[in-house]
Amino acid sequence: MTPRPLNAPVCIPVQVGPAGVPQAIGLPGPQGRRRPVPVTRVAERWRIDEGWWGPNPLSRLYYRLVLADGRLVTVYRDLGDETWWAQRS
Amino acid sequence: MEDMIGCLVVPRFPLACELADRPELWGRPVAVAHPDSRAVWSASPAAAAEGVLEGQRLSEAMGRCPPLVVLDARPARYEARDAAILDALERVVPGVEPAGLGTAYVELASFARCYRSPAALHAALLGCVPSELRPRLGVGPTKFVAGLAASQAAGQGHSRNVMVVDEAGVAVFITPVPVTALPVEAELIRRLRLVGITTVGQLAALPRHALVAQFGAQGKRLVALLDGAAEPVRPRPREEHVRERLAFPEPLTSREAVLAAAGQVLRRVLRHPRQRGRVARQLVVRAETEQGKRWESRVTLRHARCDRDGLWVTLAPALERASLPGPVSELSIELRGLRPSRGWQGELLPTRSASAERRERIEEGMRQLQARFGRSLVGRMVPVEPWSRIPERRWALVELE
Repeated sequence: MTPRPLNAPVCIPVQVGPAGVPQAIGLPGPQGRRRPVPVTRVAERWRIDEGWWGPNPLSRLYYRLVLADGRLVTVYRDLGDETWWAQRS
Repeated sequence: MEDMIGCLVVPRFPLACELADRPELWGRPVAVAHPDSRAVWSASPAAAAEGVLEGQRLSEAMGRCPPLVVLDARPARYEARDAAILDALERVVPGVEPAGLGTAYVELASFARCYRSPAALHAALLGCVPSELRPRLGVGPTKFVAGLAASQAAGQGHSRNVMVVDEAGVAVFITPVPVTALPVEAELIRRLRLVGITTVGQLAALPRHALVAQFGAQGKRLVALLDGAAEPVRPRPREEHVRERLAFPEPLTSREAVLAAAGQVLRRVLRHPRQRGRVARQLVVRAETEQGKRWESRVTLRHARCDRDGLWVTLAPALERASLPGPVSELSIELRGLRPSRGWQGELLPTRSASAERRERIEEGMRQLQARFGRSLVGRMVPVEPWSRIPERRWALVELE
């Protein structure tokens, strides 16, 4: 078995506000159905840029979000292809 | 015979098995229906000449060829014949790699000296297959070339259906071969044909780096095939097992009768000389119907054991729950993963620490999973770049041996 990376990101739908900040994110519900959960506030924000000198640059804008139901989740926007991903940090 | 690999093939294996039982159908348009769908599984050359293709719906095949004789598949019979061929081959050469029903690769280099000539070795290999199945043997420096040689061995005047392609003749041999014969994904073949590449010779003329750049991992595989990279024969794993079977002249229709017969077979398998003093890790029970349909249940035992009562507690519920495909004409029980019994005794005064006992239980659980699924499903987290700012690069999961 080849080593399998742990904590791989999962693509999620995100509703963003005018400033590009997440307003609601789609997390899997009890039946596996994604339902939008409103974001109460952004607890933290940081940016990672790596490998910009190579063929596979990586540029992510991370948000730690407090959701309306009290959960704390970490998501990021891939600045390369503008997709949103959830990941434990 | 340096580094030569043999490929023994019985073309259209299901059909060959049926025709061996019904020789009066030789030369006629015959098709074997797929056991799981109403489609053609295997078609005779006479049927193929009328437009009957493998995978075609039976209704369409009958429309194209009205005199077509359609036979019901008997997978249990084909598997038994295939297993008998593999066993016979292993008595001639130890390294035998099964490659689907009716196909096996054998490593010849080490055993050529045991025979007075290559022809004698080829005859011994072909002798492992009943002649009515009309086997073919291809010999080449790689599995790919050996397989191609086997597919072209008959019908070209080669004595005893053998074709040998030596190292020097590979380039000439594979040049006219169509790309559809390459063991790569169908999508890659489609893309090759789209750009007008139809033969292996045309493909071999292309720069290797261009193939890798265009097709990635599949391109690397193509380059390896074209350059004759060594593909070792991977012999099937040897596993200690014992098996007993009971055939019934009158097929059993009631579940009570099947249970009673299973009890009898279990007693016989436990009395088997090779089973004495050993415990089994896995129990496989199979029931076959007159039509060759098969039901199988495989149970991995929590503790390796050989006592009748303990095995019956596992076996009986499996048979009671079974939805058998019809009246049972044959029942067999196989004990797998045999190993010497070490005995088991409880401790009056525990000598091991709680953590050692827990570790032993975990290891036992892992052995059970490995016996059940054939590989370990338990992983261990290892740090890769724990300092990385990218979360998925910090830890990885590797198989726990």
